[in-house]
Amino acid sequence: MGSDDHRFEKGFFTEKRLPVAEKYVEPPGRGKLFLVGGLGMLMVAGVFLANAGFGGGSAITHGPLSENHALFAGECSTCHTPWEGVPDGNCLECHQKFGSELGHYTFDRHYLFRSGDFDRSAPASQELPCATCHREHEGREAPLSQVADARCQACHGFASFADGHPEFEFAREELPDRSNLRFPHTLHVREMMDEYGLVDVEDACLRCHTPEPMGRFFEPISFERQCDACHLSSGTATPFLPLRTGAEGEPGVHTLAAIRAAGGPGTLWADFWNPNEFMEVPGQIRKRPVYHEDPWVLHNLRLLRQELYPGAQLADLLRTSTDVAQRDVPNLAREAAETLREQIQAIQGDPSPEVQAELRDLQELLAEVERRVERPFSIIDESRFRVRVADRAPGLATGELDEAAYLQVVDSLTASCQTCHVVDRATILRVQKDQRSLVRAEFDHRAHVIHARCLDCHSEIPIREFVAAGEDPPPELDRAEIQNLPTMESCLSCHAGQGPAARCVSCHFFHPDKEHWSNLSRFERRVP
Amino acid sequence: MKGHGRALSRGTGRLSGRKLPLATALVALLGLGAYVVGSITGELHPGSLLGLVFGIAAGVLLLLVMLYSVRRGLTRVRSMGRRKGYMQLHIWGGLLFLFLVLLHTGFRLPRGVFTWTLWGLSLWVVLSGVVGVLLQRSIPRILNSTATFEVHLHRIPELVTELRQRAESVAGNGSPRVRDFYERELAAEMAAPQMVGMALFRGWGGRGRLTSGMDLLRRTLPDEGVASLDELQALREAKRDMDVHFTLQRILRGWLWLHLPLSILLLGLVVLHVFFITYF
Repeated sequence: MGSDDHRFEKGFFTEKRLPVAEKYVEPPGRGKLFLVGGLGMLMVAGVFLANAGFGGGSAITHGPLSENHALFAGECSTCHTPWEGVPDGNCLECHQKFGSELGHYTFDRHYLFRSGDFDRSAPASQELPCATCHREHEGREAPLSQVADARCQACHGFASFADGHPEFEFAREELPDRSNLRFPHTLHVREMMDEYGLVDVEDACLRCHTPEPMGRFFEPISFERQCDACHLSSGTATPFLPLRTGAEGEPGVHTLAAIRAAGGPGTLWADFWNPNEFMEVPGQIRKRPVYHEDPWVLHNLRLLRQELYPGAQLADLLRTSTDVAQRDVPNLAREAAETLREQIQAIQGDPSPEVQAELRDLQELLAEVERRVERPFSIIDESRFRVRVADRAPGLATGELDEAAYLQVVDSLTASCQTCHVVDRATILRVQKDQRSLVRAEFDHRAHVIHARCLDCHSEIPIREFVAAGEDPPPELDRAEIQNLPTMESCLSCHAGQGPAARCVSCHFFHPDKEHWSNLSRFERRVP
Repeated sequence: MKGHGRALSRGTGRLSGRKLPLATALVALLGLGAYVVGSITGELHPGSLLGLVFGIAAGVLLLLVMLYSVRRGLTRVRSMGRRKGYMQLHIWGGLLFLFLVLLHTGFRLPRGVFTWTLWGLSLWVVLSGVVGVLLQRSIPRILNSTATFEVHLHRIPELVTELRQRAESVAGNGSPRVRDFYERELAAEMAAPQMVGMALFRGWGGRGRLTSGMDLLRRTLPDEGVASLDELQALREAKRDMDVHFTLQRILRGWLWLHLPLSILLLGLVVLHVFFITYF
């Protein structure tokens, strides 16, 4: 331990007696570290700022743009406005070329989509910017339109498709199918199987329900494609119908010659019609064959309706009545406009002052209709096309007109029509051709037919059972009014838990179909 | 200002010890819980409400953590409280900062250059901080058990020069064989402080070979030559201890170069991040 004695000798330390410091050794400051850090920070920040200012922002973006917007890479100002983020106006520069209050991408449009219910709408101030739901810079493959359920759940208060999702409206409200047809499915399936020698019931379904090219929906039902082969053959005829005598209160039909002689809007067809199709006996007439949308039948039906319901003038512009889904309301106006054009064409060659005056009235009416159809914000009141009780002729109430006699003529005139069609108030009810019963959801058949057969889901009408038995079901089990659609329970048998896609956007669109403006038809609040 | 300092000091003082780790764990658990709930019930991303809360909390915490440097620079301002409290806040706050950053990013890797830089810097700064804590705790223990004395890093060159001069003097006054041995085996080692690779493991390579060379020489030298050789060996042992100090203290101080400048860079880029988010 002798060496330890030296260790603590004054002025020295260690065994080797090294000198202690003469003064306190100041620990080095950290100024150099801060200086290097600060300079490095300025340099790196400068690089990023320079990139933001002059380099197109490629380095400061927090991820690549989606493939939809990839061409805007390096052009930040296309979407971003300084201190405002991504205002909707920048999105609408491309996504909505027209500046409209109820544009395709507005929330009002969403609230009113297929509902026309103004109680659903919220102030525009509560609208969220596009970029809130459509998140960019998530990479090339990020699907912008696949919005997370959470965004929808901010307003729609249920947890998921499997937990609290409302039942489909038709099932919840027990709404009938508004096909407006007399159509027993089983009968048709059986006849189709016999006709074509089909073994599989589903093959018969597909004879009429023709998938669209993409397979998502079905083509609208068409008489010419689906019905014409069996219905209304050349032998189809009307019964003998009483001819119109001109006497007040005596219902009857007009001959072809009488229609030609009367002329007027909508009678141009009569000039070219074959008179040999009519068999006239004293006081009566019959027509053979009867065509689909036969002009003579429809013209006489219109004349009869005008006597029964003189107030329903706009109904004359349509071939059928107007009990249609909201989304089809503009189609009514288009059909009315087409009728007006035909009527104008028919009379415009007549120089007489009375006809020219009527022509001017028709042209003004057409212009008004066209204006309203093209302007989605204008009111299209489809009820004006409807034959209402209020339009009834006063004579029906007083007994001057014999309603039963009129209706008998109407029934006889439309007897061949009523094989399939429903006639009400001297009007053929409009057929729902598009076969789309879901109001707010879009069902993709293509994605489902791989896993299920048609009748696995469309089982409300027991087609398979009765076809197998070789029988037709009683009418109450097989009517066109029966919604032969699956309910939520059927959907949830697959789309629940960890099953297949059950996201909101799997079936719904936040922004409605661009082509369908009908949801705005009742938009009255903001119309000037 | 003094009032704020005292309050913070009291706060950090109270939270130091076991309370601060517990508070950190509690906040982290709360954050994780919010993250899990947010992920299940809603959409969670850096721009969502919860994501922004995590991001803002991380930014505020980064500023608080950096108060340690401020406190350290103001050694004479006692009203700011004890440095230890700030150090505790620096360590646990730093760890919490990284966790909040991960919550902010949703535990996803960034996609852009800037965000990668931010994310990488956050990770680097915190991990280098953890390494620093480990070094601060382990190096004094190694020195205590390895070296026979304590010495200030900045005095080492001066003292090594002293040792070298003494060694040269001993060798110059010794026999030619001792002088030759010194020039051949020891002169280079005694010339200047050296970083010794195995210092952290309490030894370094070559020691055995050199000792065996000295033993061989000692056996063949006359008695007066042996005394010179023993003196050289003692000086060399002292130099070895100097090198251990030199190595470990340089690691301890050099580590800071990997931590502090990048922390400043991180702070600057966080400010820039806030600017970009607000501007764009």
